[in-house]
Amino acid sequence: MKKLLISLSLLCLLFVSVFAIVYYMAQPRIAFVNTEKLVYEYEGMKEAHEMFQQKVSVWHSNVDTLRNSLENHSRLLEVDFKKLSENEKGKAVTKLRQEEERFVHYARSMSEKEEKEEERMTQSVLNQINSFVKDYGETHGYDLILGTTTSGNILYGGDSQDITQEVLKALNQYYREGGTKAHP
Amino acid sequence: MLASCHSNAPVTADDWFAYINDPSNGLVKVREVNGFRFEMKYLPADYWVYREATRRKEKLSEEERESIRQVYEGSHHFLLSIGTDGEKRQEVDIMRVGVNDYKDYSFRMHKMNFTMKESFSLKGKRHQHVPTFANLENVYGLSPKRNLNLVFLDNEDIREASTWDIKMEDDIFHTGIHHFSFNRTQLHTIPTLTF
Repeated sequence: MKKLLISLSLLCLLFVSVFAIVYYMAQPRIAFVNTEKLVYEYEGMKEAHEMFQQKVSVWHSNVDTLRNSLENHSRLLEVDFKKLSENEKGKAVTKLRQEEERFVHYARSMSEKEEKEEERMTQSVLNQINSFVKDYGETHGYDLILGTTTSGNILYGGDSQDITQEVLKALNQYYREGGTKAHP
Repeated sequence: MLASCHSNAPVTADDWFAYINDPSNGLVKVREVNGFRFEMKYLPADYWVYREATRRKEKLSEEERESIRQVYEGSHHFLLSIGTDGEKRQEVDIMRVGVNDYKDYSFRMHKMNFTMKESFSLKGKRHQHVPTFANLENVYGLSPKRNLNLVFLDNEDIREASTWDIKMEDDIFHTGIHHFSFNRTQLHTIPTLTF
C-alpha cells in the first residue's frame, strides 16, 4: 500500500512536471526594444546622418552664395540708382526682382529636396533595422518583438523583456562585419 | 580539405570555384535588407585567366597565362549580384521591384547602367577610392538578378590596408548604406588554380 502511494505520487509529480514544461513552451516569447535608442545608436543611422549633413552643407552653401550675390546686386543698384535714367531704373528694378524670384524658387526647391532626402535616408535606415529585427526574432525564437515609442504604446516592460542592448549589439556588428543576419 | 587548408596549394577548377564561392572563406559578402539580397564577390586574377583559357579553343601556355594574370593583378575586381532574397520576396526581375511607374523604371535603368560608379567607394589605409569601372551586365531577360562588375585600380594606399571596406550607397532600392569588408589575409590565401 505504501509502495502504491509512493508510485502514484511520483506519477502525479511526473505528469505535473510534463504539463508545466509543455505549458511553459507553449507560452509566446515576447520582448521589446527601445526604438529610439535602437535607431539613434545604430551605426548605420550615424553614418547615414553624417552623409546627409554633408549634402545639406553643400546645398546651404549654394543658397548662401546666391543670397550674397543677390544682396550685392541690390547694394550696387542702391549706390548707382540716382545716376540711372528712368528707363534704366525700371529695367534694373525688374532685373533685380526676377533675380529675387529665382532665388526664392531655388531656396524653396532646396528646402524641399532636403526634406525629401532626410525622409529617404531615415526610411532606408528603418528598412535595415526592421529587416534585421525580424530575422533576429525568428533566429532567437521570439514570437513577438515590440518597439517602444514616445507615444506610450508600451507603458511598462520588465528588464528581462527588454532586449534593446542585445539587438543593438548584433545590429551594429552586422553593419560592420556582415555575416548571416542574426549570427554575425 | 579546402576548409582546413588556407594555403596557396594548387587545386582543380571545381574545388577552386567552390572555394571562392564559399562565404566562409571571406571572398563573398552578403547583405539582405527588406527582401533584397546584395552579394559582393571578390574575383581573383586567376578567375580571369580561367575565363580566357576556356574562351580560347587552344590551351594557353604558361607565359600567356602569366601575361593575362599580370594584367588583372593591376586592379581589383568585384562582382555585385543584386536580387531578391527568395524568402520574403518572390524571384522577380529586380529592375521592376518597387517600381510604380515608367519614371521610376527609367530612373532605375539610367542609374544602374550609367551612374553606379557614384554609389561605391573602397576604403584604403587613408583614403576613399572610387571605382574605375562599374558595368551592369546584360542578362537578356534570362535572370531576375543583375550583376555589376566593379573594378578598382591598385595603388599603394589600397595595398597597405589590412581590410578593404567597400561602401555602397543604395538610393535605388532604398536599403541604405552597406559595407562589404574583405580581410586582406583571406584574399592572399586563395588556393592556386590548376590549369
